[in-house]
Amino acid sequence: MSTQSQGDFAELLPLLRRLPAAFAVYKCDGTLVIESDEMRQLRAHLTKAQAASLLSLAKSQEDNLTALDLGSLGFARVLRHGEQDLRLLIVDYNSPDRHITAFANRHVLIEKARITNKFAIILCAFDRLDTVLETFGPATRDELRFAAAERLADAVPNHLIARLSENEFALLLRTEKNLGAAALGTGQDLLELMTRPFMLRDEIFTIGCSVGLAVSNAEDHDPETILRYAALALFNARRAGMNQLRIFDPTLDFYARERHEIERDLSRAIALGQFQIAYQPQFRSDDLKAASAEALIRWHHPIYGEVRPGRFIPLSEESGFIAKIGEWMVKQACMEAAKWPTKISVAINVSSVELRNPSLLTNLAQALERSGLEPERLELELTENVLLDQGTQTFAMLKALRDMGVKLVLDDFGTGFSSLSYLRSFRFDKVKIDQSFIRHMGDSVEASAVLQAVLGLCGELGIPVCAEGVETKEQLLELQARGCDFVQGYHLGYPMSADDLVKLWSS
Amino acid sequence: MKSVTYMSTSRIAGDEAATTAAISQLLEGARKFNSSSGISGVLLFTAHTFLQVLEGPAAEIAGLFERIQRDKRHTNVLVLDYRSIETRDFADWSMAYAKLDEPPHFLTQARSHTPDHDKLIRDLQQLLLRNDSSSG
Repeated sequence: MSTQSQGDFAELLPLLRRLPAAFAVYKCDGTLVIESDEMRQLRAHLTKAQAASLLSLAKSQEDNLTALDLGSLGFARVLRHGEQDLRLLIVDYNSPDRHITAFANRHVLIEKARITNKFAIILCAFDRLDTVLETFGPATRDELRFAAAERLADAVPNHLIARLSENEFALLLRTEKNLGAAALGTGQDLLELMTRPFMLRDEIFTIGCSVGLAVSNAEDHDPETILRYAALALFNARRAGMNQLRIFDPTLDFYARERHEIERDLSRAIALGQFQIAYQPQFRSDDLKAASAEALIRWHHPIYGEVRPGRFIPLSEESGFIAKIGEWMVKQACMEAAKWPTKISVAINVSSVELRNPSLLTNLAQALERSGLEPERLELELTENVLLDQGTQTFAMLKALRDMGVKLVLDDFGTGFSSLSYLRSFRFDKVKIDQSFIRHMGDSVEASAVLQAVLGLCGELGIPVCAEGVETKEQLLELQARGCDFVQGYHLGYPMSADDLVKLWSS
Repeated sequence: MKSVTYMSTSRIAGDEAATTAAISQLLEGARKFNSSSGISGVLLFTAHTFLQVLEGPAAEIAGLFERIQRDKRHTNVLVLDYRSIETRDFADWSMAYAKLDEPPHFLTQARSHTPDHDKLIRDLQQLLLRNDSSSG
């Protein structure tokens, strides 16, 4: 890393985050730029003397890799990063005298691959070392890891091996002929070899191993891309179970694959409890008292982390799974809202697809009955495109909903096909004006005029108006002055968990 | 001292003559190494399966075991037993060798039922006493 001359430090961050080690980045004067959570935790355990040594190590001008022994916490090392003169401080458990660190790093692998026309990258990851850690402790785990790395290096003496993380190694294959077949053969051999037993002192151990590989071709020969492909293959190998090998399938690129996986995993997300609801509070603008909270779905995917609704909602609409999500949302939100100490409303978004589904009525009735939530505390937010289809079916549905006693809110008003005449076609209980008008009301005459027109007409019709996307104090003051009834936005409150929402009200 | 017993599947290809040649080459190397490292033991080969017992000083056994693990002439390694020992069971052999056309009972079951170690050792010793080809 110290030899890396170009590139922004930010590029390194994703890689650093994958390191099993704790890390921190310092400027040359010793100011901290960023540190990982592990480092923060680790620093809490340092003695004063250790903390001082660590800081002087970070400020050190010497470009060597002298490690600082932090006892049971591990060893600290500093790497200088190129021209920006940033210092990367890494703390991990590898003793500096172990030549396990003598493997090439990721940078060397990429650079070597870059000067090669045809190459394959084989990623080899050791699994199940955690079980060893639990049963035999860190010393044995490290010894086993060391033995595995040695066996790996010995198995392919003529190829470059880079160590990407504690348990992950990348092999660069540069044979000219039959590269694909050679890579597959090598990968299979490695898998077989690494899953053979290890003898350490009084025990025999076996570890798990997963292999992913990708081969360059005429179109794809950027080493970073091939490495990413190999990582995807490895990911699939691990998912397939223990001791598997997978080859990157070039017909699917990363996003296609991600989409495919999200689509597939979506159907299990409810059963696995991966969905949660975040609530964004809405306030009365005159006294800023909480009036309602909009329920927003959150999906925590085990691999991709937080998946934006903008990504999975369209996919779930395509697959029809949206109905299940909608059903879950209604049940969950009603149940949570029924427990709130103050009797404020909960708002749920209903898509036009759901509105056309007659089972919406049964779902709502069931959710209200089971939760005991008063119907007038449930607001359904409908986008104006539901009114585009002004068939009798839509109006029958709207009327049936109204008869249940729930409140109907026209959402995102002002975008798309909106027409003020829609406001007369059906009597809504509230209108939410789209955030783009709030954002631009200060600098766009047009936005300001639309806002004024909506406020005027709704005022005449006696429909309360809510402004969405209120992000500044100025916007709030302006909306108060114009007589807008409700406000919602980051300036007033971010989406938060039901627990935090209750805390907010009780404080 | 340590003793380790494992079985594995042969990857040696070719006809019987080629196999015999490969195995005698394997044995020659093993005997040379073992006698200089204080290792004794037995190798049984039957129906593409190896069964080997190695006994000797702990460090030497560990080193040899890892060397065997890196050997590409076999696969499917399964350790049947690993223990500390006071006395050797095969003290007289740097590497006794037994070849059988039919796998003995204790071997055919070994992958599914870990055999009783003492019985396995006794069976092997009897086999060596009967078997003319054992030497070393």
